[in-house]
Amino acid sequence: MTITVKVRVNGSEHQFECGSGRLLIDAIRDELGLPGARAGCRTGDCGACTVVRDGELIKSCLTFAAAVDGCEITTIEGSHSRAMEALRQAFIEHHAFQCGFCTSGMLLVAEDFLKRAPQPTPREIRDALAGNICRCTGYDNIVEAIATAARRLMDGDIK
Amino acid sequence: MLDPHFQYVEPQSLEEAVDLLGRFGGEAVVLGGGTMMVPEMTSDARRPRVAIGIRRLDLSTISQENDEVIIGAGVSYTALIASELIARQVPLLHDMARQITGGVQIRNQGTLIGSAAFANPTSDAPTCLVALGARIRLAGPQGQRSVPAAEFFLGAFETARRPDEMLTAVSVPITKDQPVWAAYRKLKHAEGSWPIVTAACLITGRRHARVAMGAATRRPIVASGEVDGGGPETFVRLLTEQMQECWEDPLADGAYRRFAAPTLVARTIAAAMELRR
Repeated sequence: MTITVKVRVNGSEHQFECGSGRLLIDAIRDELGLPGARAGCRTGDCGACTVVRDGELIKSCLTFAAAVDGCEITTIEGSHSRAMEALRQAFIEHHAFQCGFCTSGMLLVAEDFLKRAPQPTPREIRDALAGNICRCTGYDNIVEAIATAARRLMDGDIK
Repeated sequence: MLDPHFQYVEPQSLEEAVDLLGRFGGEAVVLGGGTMMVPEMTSDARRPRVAIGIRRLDLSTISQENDEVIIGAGVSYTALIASELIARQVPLLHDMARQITGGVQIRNQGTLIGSAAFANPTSDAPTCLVALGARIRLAGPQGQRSVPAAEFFLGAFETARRPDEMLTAVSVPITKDQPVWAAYRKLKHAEGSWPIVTAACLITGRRHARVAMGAATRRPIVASGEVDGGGPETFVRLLTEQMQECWEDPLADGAYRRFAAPTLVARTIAAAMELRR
């Protein structure tokens, strides 16, 4: 039996049909054509499928698409806050990715974290990334990039 | 891959949910945050005929009713951390929720009651609910009932829930006029790994302590007494005497859990007593 799901995604209304067992991550990538979030482990461990649901970060492999009917979803493609632009720039400068598979999840978690901790210590940044795995183990560069973005946001040193 | 032969439904009321449970019995699963059950279904380890989403049931509230704090089945760990009522009256759950692994996403999605229903021996919720003397509220076709947490957890992934029942809330007794000190600690090998031993200590009325231990055993075990009597050693002895068959998984065998348990219990009691100073 197919279910009709209506969602607001990255600011615009969408509607699609899917089966009960369709995971949100697969619907986002295939039905909605947004490939930024990745399907990594499908067990909730890796965080590559992270998106924002009604203002809260979630792992989209842990929810059925049918369960977000009526919700507002933001993916990396629709995320353009000042903090996100600072993070993107800093990730590029610090080479905070190797294969890039984890990057969209890392960016969304970092953006959410900097709202609550605008002047984080490296230790706090590492704690904030606890739900996201970089299989290339490039954590040092990711932590440095987030620290750089935080510093620039505090200094107003960003375009 | 996911078994396509199930239906996802979101009942609009508890009555409707209970009706579904009555009709599908053991072939229904109730999804809280989905953090345990959705991967189980994704890997085909569990093949229900119906999956029930509870977000329209108005179960996402934390409230105080006389001498109890009531936590609904939809309350996430993030909501527990943010609750001033929990921080003041049930600090053990505040401490526990902050230590939930899997990142902010899992704290946003996962629920205390979903974890209780799943009854993974190494989860955080069972040990804490037993230490708190909480009661689990259940609803099913035969009506509503509540079961003390110590009698709810029967073994690894086994609870007193009947196949046609769902958990609606937990009630936690509080002592309004007395200070409470609490600590939850766990031994784990890495940030994201499942615990080897869990321990929770609740001190009420300055002297009385209830200490629960989990993960080393298939179900939480508990001991209570005067905290200043024999010190932590008394509780360690009372708990280790109850340890029969240890829980084992690829992270640690039973012998290691038995070896590590006393140290973690003693540290947890010390942490709670440190707060009392």
